Amino acid sequence: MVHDAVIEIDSLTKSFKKRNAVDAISLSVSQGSVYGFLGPNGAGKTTTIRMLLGLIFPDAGRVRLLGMSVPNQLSEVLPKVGAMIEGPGFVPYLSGAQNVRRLLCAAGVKGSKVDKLAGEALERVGLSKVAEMSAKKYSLGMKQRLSLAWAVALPRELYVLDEPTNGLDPAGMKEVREIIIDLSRSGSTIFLSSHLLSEVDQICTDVALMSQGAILKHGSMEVLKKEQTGYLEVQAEPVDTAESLLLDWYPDLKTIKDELKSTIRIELPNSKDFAGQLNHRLVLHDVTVSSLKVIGQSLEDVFVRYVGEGFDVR
Amino acid sequence: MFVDELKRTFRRPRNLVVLGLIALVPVLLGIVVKTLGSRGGNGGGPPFFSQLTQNPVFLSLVALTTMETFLIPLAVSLIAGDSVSGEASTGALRYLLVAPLGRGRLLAIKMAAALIYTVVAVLIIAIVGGLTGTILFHIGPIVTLSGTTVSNLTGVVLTLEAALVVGISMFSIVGVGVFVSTVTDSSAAASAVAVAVAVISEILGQIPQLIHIRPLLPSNYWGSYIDLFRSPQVLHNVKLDILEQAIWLGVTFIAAWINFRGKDIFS
Repeated sequence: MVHDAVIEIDSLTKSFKKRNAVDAISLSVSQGSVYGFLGPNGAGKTTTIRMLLGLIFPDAGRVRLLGMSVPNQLSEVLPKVGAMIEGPGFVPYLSGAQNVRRLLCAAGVKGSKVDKLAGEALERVGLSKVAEMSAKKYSLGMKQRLSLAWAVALPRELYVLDEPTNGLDPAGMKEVREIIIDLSRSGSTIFLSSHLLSEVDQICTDVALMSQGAILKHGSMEVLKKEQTGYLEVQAEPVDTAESLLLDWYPDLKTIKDELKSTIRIELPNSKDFAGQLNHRLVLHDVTVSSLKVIGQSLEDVFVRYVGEGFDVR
Repeated sequence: MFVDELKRTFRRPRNLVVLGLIALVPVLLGIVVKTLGSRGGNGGGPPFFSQLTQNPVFLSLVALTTMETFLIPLAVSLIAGDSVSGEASTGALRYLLVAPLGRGRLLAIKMAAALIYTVVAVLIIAIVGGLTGTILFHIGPIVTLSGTTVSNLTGVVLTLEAALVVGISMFSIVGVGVFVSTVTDSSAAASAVAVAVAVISEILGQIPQLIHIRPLLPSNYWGSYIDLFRSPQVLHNVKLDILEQAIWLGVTFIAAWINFRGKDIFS
């Protein structure tokens, strides 16, 4: 059965000691999308994911996965969901392969299929050579790959991946992104939580921004970026004079000065040839303009606009 | 999954070390008695101690008797207390649950594996005791507590039955361990509580003023397996022990289920 909305969350709420970790959030993830679930650490992303998977019970609200109610129909829906939850979690004295085989057994896979699927999954994430090594000897990156191996060991309709590239080196991150793109091409829906904006920017079709338990913004990546005004980066000397002139002329536009680079970033209004006019006016006021650069709309700008700065944005 | 869990239980290095250590006790007991003799002091000691050198089965029985009050509860508490909390502390629990392995099924598998481990542990004590006794002592007549003699085969069967009863006597402690392991993510804490329940139960059982609550104590009928060695057998206390252990197991399982079914998993 095909469901248009693979994940439906309605007014989902969870409090811990009177603090709303997740505060009446609602969102919908359509089939086939790669949905980025963004937010700073402590935003409530993992709590939301745990509620999606029936690990944490909500105080209020409703969750439906693949058209089925969670947690009431968990046993029916979870076999269709591959999950990687908040990093690795394995039995340390078992090997990587034994750990994946154990989870496959728990998922009801029987006989020779267990070995076959475990072998394929480990191969896919590049752990074949260390498959028989005890999991406690794995590095963080290898453990992260092991979690991913389990998540992708069985074909699923939905993959919920919580920070899948944590602890990976750049090459590993690229490999994981390719695996996610592969999964998406096979028709599965991906729900990807991350605080790495570049990662989400590269692979997601839709995005939700979460902060302090609330969804601040959600929608398609394209629309979201278009909503965001770009910046004009002006490199000028003396930069202080340039800044005070800009503040005088455009008091409503946001400006950010970078003294080290002698640059000022000014929000780009919707008027035509704003850059040319600005250059002309600055020169008339004896300010030397060495460069004018239009900075396009990025996910980072969208994020900063809604969530603010001061967290680890990469 | 149950078979996989059993394999994991019996392959885990820590669990194997525990089995090895408890198997060592009858060996040490046999060597000490062989070296120093079984007589001396005021003639006291556990049941069958004075007959220890008469037949290998008596070494098994003495080992079971001496270990029933602390070492066996300790060994089974270590495994039971680790059952759910051990998975939680490594983070494996969340992956098992979303695999998906239902919470009720997980609990039942964990409980069953811990019970089987318990029975295997006491059988190992009995078997190692028997083998050590065969090597160290001669195979003489088996005189029951009623003064009758039984054949060696009957003696072996009775000893294995006794071990089974000792194993079943630990089911309450296994139940407590599994229940507490659903409450905390610390295996050590869960195991400590299970051992504490065993020890406190034995202490309370010694207080005359508490005679009316004794039947409720999990350790009340420990040692009842001795009645298997009467002629004719007196099974009243053995039956009460089995009944009490079943009730404790049932109650602790239900408590574990009630706690675990709605528990938020943060680990």
